[in-house]
Amino acid sequence: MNTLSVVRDFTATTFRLSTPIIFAALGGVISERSGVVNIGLEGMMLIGAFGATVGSYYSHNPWIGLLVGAAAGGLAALIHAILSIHFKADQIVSGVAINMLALGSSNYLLLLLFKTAGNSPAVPTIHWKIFAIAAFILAFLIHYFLYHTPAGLRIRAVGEHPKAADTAGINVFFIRYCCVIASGILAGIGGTYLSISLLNRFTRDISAGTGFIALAAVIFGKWTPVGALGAGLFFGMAYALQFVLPGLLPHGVKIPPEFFNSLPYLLTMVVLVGVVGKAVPPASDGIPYDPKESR
Amino acid sequence: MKKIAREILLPISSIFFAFLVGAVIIKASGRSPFLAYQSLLMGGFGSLGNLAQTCLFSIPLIFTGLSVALAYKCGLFNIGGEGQFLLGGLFSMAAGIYIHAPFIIHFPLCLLCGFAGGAVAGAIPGWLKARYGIHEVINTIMLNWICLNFVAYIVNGPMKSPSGLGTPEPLKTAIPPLIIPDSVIPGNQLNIGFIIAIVFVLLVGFYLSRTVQGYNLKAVGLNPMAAEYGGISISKNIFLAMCLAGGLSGLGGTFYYLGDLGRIPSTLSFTGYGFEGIAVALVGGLNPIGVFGASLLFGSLESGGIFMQLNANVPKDLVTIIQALVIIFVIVPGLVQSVFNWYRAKKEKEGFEYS
Amino acid sequence: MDSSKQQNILVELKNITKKFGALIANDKVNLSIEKGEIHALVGENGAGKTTLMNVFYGLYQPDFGKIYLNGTEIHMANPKTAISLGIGMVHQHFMLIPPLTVAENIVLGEEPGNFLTYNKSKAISEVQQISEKHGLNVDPAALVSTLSVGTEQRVEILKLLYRRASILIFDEPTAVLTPQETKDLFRIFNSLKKEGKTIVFISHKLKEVMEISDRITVMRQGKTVGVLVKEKTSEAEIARLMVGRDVLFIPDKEVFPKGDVVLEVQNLQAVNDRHLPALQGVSFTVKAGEILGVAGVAGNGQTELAEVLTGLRSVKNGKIFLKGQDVTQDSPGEKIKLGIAHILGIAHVPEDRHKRGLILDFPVAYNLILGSQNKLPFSKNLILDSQAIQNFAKEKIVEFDIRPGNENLPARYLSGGNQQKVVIAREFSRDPSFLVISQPTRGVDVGGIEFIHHQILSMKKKGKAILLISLELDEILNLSDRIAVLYNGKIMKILERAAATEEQLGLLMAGISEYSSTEKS
Repeated sequence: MNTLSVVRDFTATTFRLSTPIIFAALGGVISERSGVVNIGLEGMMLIGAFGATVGSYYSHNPWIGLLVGAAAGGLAALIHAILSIHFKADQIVSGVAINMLALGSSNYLLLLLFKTAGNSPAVPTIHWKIFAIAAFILAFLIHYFLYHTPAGLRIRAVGEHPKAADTAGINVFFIRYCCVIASGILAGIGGTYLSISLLNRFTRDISAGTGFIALAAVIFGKWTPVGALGAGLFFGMAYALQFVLPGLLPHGVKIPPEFFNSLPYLLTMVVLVGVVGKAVPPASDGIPYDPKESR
Repeated sequence: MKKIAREILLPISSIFFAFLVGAVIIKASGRSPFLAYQSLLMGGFGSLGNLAQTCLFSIPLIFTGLSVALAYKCGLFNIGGEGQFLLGGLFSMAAGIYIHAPFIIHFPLCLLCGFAGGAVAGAIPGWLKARYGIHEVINTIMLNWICLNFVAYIVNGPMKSPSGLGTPEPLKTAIPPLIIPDSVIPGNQLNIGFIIAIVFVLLVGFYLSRTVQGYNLKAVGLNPMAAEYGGISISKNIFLAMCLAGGLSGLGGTFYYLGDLGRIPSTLSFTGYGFEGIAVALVGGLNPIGVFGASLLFGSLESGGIFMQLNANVPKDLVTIIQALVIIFVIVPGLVQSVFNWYRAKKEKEGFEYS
Repeated sequence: MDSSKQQNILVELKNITKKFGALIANDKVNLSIEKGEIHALVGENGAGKTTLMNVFYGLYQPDFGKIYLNGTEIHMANPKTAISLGIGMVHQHFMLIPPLTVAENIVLGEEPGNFLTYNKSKAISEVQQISEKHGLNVDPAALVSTLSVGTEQRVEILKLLYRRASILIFDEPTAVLTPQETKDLFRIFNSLKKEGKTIVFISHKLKEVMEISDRITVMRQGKTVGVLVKEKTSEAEIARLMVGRDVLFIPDKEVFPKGDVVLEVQNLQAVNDRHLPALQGVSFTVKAGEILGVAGVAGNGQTELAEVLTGLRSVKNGKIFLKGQDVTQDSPGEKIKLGIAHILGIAHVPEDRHKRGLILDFPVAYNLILGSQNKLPFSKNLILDSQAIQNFAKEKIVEFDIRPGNENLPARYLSGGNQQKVVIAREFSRDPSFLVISQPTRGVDVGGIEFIHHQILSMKKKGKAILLISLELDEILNLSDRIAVLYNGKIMKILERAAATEEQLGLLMAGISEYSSTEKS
């Protein structure tokens, strides 16, 4: 095994594993920038992965699968939006409910449609590099969108101080709805990648925590799109290490794979302690907007 | 009186609506909702054996539900039930395997270890919140995964049994004894954990409503600035609440792994009890007695779910969907209200058309 | 004359009614505003002024009533409608977004540029232009988080001017300003008026109302009770309309023999929440049977002073002596001892009862024992004694006339005045030797103010040492024996009540000391 091929493998694995995290994390950034916490990313990915499989299976066209996957994620996000924006429900609990709903319904439909509790049949796929490149471009597009367009300015305003935005004539509810649904679509695409690009089928609980890692990447990237991209790559690298490192370590030294699996979570906790005191999340992140309240 | 009626009405109507939506889903799947719910009910309560099974399934839920409710009273959202559950299970299992003592010492010691394990997993986010003000939701989520990986490593490494199924079985003196002898209800596994869970329901209730410490904890949850003004330490109470909440979830894991499973399996995953604890706490109106009732309901869904899948050909995952729907209806009282309003408006409209 | 006045009417609000649950905030309110005037809307706290303006601005939808602009009925669906009709509002709590720049805050919602890009440099230059034109002197590229309160207010004004508002509503704009800044604001008002803009000015400070406005509408308990022309009215008349009766409460000016020094503070220094110096060397004494009033404009260290004295904030430097005993909480690294106030027998009526004083979702009975929950008779061996708690609550409800008299009702459901009585009842029942009383009557109705003032004076009669911190100069003048003026974290001067005049206090509050070089002792 020469060094070059190790480096090449490592890089490829990093990108392959980063891509779903980046997609969902970008979704998380948009949602939280507008002031809605999205714990439901995991569920939106899961339901997106399932939708993509179904779409690809029945149409024999993976691109239709991508559409269905994105739409499924968006639909799950719509529920989150209705609950947390319209009904002002606790956004964290709503996210938890979305995750449970996605888990239950994907497994339910898996059994119903494919008569299995484990793996769906194989379906047509899309090459992973397309997703990986798209994730990169998207991160910079969203950066431009948030910091250089009127809509982006309004989103940031709504996330920081919705009442101020409201008094400036901005429709807070509309912006939040759009952002939450966009986050679901992006998470859905992340899930699509898992089922019809990284794999070629849906497997039970395929997201397996990727959505929570994306949530960590949102925080790690300080609620910015480029930061989320960096964090996603970093976490992907942590995963990739476990495939490469064993070959590089001196004989007899073993690092359990569980350590690498924990790394993104551990690092996020460490980073949170490190950035304490500095302004981090959007000021109104997680607080439902009620125009009747004085502040 | 009116207040109590309203407190009960919301969860009950939420449960009702969740089942109603569930019925629509079953119908849309081309199955019979009637048959499905009948088997669900039979599976949950149909026989003494099934009832015992329901009670058994409710044990971990009571503990994780109490855990969420207690943390919530201190203004904290404990999403870390899954991790605390696993770590509690690991600690008690280790005590159950490696410590040799008579039952009267060994068993309580296992419970203590299970509580301590969960408390450790709760203490970390508690400390980070108390010391640095970092939101507990993020850290409890992160810790869930860290605990999962850590326990998986221990179970498949240092504690691996020769059989390869996971950890070895705990010693007899560490296993929670059955409440009802096998001769009375054959095959029942309902262990003493159920009684201990009820004791904890009462203990937590007493703690929250009748002790100075409970007063302080609730004060911090409702208005930390005012609590501080009243001489109550915010950070101490946050830390304590997370430790206790973690400990309760840890006890859930203790009974689950020592009792139900008899080992920690090598293919480890989240049990779902931690997340269901959130549902249980919310449906139970965040009070201990309510948590107990909600746990029995959710326990019956689990024991009945398998029955429903066999009998009515409805995937048991429907239970998870219904649980999620219950949460949705409970957190959005307006949703239940608007269904009522819509129904009333529709009825009025119909009445108008007929007349 | 009359017909020209009719033509001049720009805005008419007719029969505006707005309810929040059981509370009727506006009850068939009428208001008419002439073009080009400065119109004051006055009334006590909770009279419904802000609600009325929020309805006019489209933030609230009225339950009924109509809004006319230039004689045409308008449906004010949301602030966007209001903005498009040339209406702008500066809210009491500024609606600014700290991490954004001044220019971004101002152009928000009407950004220059197109859909795909907003033109940052154009935003900055436009704001610069308007700022210079009106002499407002604001840096458009600065982050709002770095601005002073006075500058923030000017950014708010720029927001309205950028949107070419012709009707400008100001909700209590002077509450956070020094007399100098107020003067500056009124200068801006007058120049805006010259340009033909119409200004609505919400206030409860009658002197300012008489200084700046052309006409005055008085509200009381959600209703309009009078419309006055400045030239034909007086402060006394407005006050009578506001309160609904003739005489304001005048407390007895009995002088009691003062006792020994109870509290002594030497060179006290402390920082605020942003770690900036808030107290920069404060020294004073309070004797038994004496009320020392602390006057000053908000944000000059009052909050920190009260918190330092009650152990809620640590001392950076200096000493606090209570009856000669050093009770300073300054050991570095060591956490401040919480509730030290209660251990030492210091009572504290906090400035904001919702923030610190009450746990709104706790029943009244539980609120009445906050701070004593771990003491006899309310608890024994860490178990609460419900019976003792209930009995105590019932007793205090009668003694302090707390309504409704239900000790199990969460404090949330009490009126502001009754909530404040719960706090006062609790603190005054501790049998303290020293009391820190901050803003005791903020947001309390007139009857409640009278009651609370009597309670404070009766504590004085009992020989307690009292530090009274208030933003209401009248309250300070009515109750204090001596008056300390706090400015920028320092005491400008301590005056005997008899020797103090309002003018002198006003100057001191603005940081102007008459004998600035000699008066150091």
